[in-house]
Amino acid sequence: MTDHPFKKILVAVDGSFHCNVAARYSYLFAQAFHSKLFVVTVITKDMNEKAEKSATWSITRIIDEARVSGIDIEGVILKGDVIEAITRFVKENKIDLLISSTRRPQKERRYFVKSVTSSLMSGVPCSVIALRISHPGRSLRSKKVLVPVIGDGYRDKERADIISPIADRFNSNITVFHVIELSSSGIKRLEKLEKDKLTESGEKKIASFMKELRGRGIHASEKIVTGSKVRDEIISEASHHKYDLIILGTTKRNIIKRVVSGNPVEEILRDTPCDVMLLHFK
Amino acid sequence: MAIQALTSEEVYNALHTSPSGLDEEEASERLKTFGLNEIREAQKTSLLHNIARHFTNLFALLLWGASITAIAGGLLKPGEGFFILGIAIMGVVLINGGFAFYQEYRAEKAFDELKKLLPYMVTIIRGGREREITASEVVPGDIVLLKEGDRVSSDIRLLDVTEMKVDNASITGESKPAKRDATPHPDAEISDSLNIVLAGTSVVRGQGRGVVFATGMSTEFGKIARLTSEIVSGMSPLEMETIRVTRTITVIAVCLGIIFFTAGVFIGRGFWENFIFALGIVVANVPEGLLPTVTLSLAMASQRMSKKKALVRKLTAVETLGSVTVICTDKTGTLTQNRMSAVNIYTNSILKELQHIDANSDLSTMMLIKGSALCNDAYLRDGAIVGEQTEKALLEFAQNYIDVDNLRTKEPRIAEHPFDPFRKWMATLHEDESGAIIYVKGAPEVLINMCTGIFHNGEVVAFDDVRKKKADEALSDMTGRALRVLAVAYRDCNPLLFKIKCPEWEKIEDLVLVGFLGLEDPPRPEVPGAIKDCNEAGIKIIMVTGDNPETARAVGREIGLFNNPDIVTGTELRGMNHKDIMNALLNDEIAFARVTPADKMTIVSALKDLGEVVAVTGDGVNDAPALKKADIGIAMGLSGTDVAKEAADIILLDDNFATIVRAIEEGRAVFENIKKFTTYILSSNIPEIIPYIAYVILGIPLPLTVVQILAVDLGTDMLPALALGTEPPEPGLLKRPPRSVKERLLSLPLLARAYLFLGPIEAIASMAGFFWFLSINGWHWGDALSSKNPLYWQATTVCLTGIIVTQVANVFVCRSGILSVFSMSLWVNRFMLAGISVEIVIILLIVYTSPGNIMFATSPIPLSMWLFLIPFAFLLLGLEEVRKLFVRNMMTRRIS
Repeated sequence: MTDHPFKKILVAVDGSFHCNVAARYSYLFAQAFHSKLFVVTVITKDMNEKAEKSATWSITRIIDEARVSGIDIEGVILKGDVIEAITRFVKENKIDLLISSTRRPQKERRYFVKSVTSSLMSGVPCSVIALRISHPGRSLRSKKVLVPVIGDGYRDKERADIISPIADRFNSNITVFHVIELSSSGIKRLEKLEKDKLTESGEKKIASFMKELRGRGIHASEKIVTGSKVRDEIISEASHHKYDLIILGTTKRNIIKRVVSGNPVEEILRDTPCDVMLLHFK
Repeated sequence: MAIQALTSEEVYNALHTSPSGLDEEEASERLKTFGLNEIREAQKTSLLHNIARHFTNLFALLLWGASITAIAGGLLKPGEGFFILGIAIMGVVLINGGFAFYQEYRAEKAFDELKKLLPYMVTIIRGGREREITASEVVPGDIVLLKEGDRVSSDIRLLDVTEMKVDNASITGESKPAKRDATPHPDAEISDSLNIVLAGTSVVRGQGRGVVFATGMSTEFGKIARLTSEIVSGMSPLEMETIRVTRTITVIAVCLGIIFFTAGVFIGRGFWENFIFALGIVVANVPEGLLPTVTLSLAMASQRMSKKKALVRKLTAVETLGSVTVICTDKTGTLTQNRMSAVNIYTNSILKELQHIDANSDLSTMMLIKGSALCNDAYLRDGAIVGEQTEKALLEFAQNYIDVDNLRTKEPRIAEHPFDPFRKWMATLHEDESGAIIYVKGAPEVLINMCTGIFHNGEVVAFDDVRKKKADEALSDMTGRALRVLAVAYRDCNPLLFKIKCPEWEKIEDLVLVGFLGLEDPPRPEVPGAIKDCNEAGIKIIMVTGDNPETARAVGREIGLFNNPDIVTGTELRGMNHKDIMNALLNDEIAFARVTPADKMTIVSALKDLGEVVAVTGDGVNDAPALKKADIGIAMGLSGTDVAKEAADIILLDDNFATIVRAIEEGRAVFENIKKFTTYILSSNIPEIIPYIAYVILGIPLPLTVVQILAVDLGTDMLPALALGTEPPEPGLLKRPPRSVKERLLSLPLLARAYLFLGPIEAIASMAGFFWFLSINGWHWGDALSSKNPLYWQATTVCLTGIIVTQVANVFVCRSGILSVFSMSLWVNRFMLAGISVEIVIILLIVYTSPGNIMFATSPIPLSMWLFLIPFAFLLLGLEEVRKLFVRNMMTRRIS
């Protein structure tokens, strides 16, 4: 895979366990794309000595691990405000892909919306992968991967590019999952013929993405379901079929839907039973 | 990083922890990242919100509006009875809302039952120190210490164990304790791996130490809890239908009210006259008693079902059962009796019935008996055998030939590899005269591949292809006879190394096959008949069993479930995508074998996506998600866990499949009965509306007051309607296909019969009575009649009595849409006669007592008026008989 757009990948860490696990996912992409990997930590004013030490130790540990895998890696310690420092670094070094990790969003505080990762997603001029590590026992063995396609899909080509190294490395079973949202009474009234028609329309929506996957030699199965809420169906599917990873594209859900029924991405990040990889392409 | 595949060092490294555990600061950071280690119930709407919803729907809002307006009218224009009317309508809203809430409400306790499986305190090592913390504070990376009796708080990778056994029933459904170790298992899945203990399970023996790798809702148990709590089965078909009916009627009522109010304004009537009129139209159109009657009818049906051993936990499930198109049922205990007994054996390459064996002269048979007795966890207590059904059957078999206690004393068990549902065998190591011996018992298809020799007439000979073929043939023969087959094998141990460390014990292989045992679990005698009923009723039955495919096939054939089914194994199912599963389910004859309870939900989901109305049976903790997902979850009352019972809609008190079919018949009868009493209730709307239309258009005195309408809808109509709800199932109800999801309660034929046929006859009776009474008492067309005039009160009373008299006849005709009244026995529904008696008593109280007169603005009427009205009841009966005859003839012509 030499014609990929991710020549330079930056992985941001802060010494925390979840950041370190997320960094391990970055090796996968650096190896597959033959990219240069930058592992960056930002020392902020409010960090105590222990946190500083932990962050710098993280860098050393990640560099050691990555070099064992033959990855071209460089450790960088920045100072100042996290978002400003990383954004500056991304611009100055023409980074193509930023990998960061995010914690479990808290419902009351809409944590993800105001998180560092969320700010980076909207602020940096490159594509971003945000990882939420939820099940360390299943991290980095992604045998079963769920790829929900919400709405009409999202950057099919780029998303297939990201899925490809995962599928290759873990020989993963990829399931492309599309939920047709209907009211619960609407679902109850559906007869098979109507369900078939809906399934057909769902298949059309994921057709171009399936084509991209097939074009990369990835064998993916598709699953179209009718449900009253996208979030519920995705979480239920992930819980029932014991997926190891959910790969999700951020969507531009309209403001009314966001207010009325919440942001499914945020809800999935909060309630996921397995790791989630959130993709945001520029 | 597959946690079960790593060495201890790799586990520490992967989870950034060490033998001395995390420090407090890191643990606190991880708590922020992963959240509390607890299972969280999906956010549900509050009780208050639920109650409020029933009092603020369109139907309720309409009546609230009418009530408030009437009360306001009462305050502005006292003495016209508006105030009492307002209060009465408010009472209607409260009654309806209360009944709707009662019908829907069921306290969800399945989640509470799940919580009971988790511990409150946990012993961990943090910062090198052993301490107890609350289970909710445990984070990934924590080192946890486990000992006998502990419940497990999170998913843990074991690092050291001593003789540890865990009870995994809550996750796998397997009741026998499973052994645990701490070695890497690269090929196993997390939930099957021997070095993993999962949240919600418990340690039944030994102790160990491990590192937490998943907490809270990310654990395997958390996933079951999530699926159990988050799956909302949604509204039942009846609930949706009731909403649709009330919405339709509400819209019709409001539109009519507005149209006639506007018409009144144009005609030049005063505001109050128009107001009474509009209010009357609205109240007359709304079948106030319908919802309470539906609820009471469901409650009574659930009582009848409980007498038939089906305990209904959610009222609307009664009717949903009637719509069921597919039943996914367990085999053991539901289709069969779960009373295992050995019927034949295969030794020395011969398949023999038990009565033909001679254990004393046949060494192979004796070896099989010894293996059955020793490699067995069942035991004798006070002369009775205690243990799991299969093991009990084996011990019973052995007991017939040898003294089991004596044998167990002479050849004591030294060690054991407990049964594992994924490995499908158990092994025990025993001391014997020559040193030590290993007995292995398990699934024949697995054990055959572990054997290199076969015990033949007292000698070990090679288990070559010829003998393998013979064994396979015998196995097919046995499973083909619906038997559960177990294989017994053995291996001698090195006498010098017979302690646990002997290599033969460490790796069980190169076994000598002794033979097979065929166990019979006879079908329940009622099941074949119930299956036949289901076939005729268009209900598909899918057997979902943990048993061998061939046994499933044979049992299915024996009970008449199928002839040549497509049998999908659990492994095949897990390898199929959703579309393939749906396609497979289109097969008329299909069964699932060797499936785990988790597979049930996959099957149920696919069936629902095919548009089926699914009932599923279950008993284990991990059956709960499937029970919730199905339209009707059916838990086993005898063998079911509390979690399964709490997750289910219906509990079978006898675990019997035939009970499901009896309940389905009752469910179908309920919908038919709802149609009957809906016809009955809607019929009286017409004689309630006509007086108001006549009042405006003809300028006559109002023949029926709003309070009198309520006296019919919520008084006299209620018990006869309820009685129609208790009509026994009509013959042939189970010979019709299941009700389509598209079939409406308010169908055009039903509306036409009520509004265009029965209702108008009743309206003619009541209006004729009203005019006749006025005319014989000196009233002339165009005369004004004060609402305080006693003649007016008597005339409205005649109108009201006319409705009741014809409604009495209507009860009889509504018992069937096609059958003649005279062909139906009066005594099969005694409640109907009681209902009619009460209806008559109520109207007599309204007409002939002072409180009744005051409350409903009535006045006693002479006997002659009764004699005038009663012939109309016979007219209704007669005309309806003619209509039914016409319908029957049409049907006969169509069929011929």
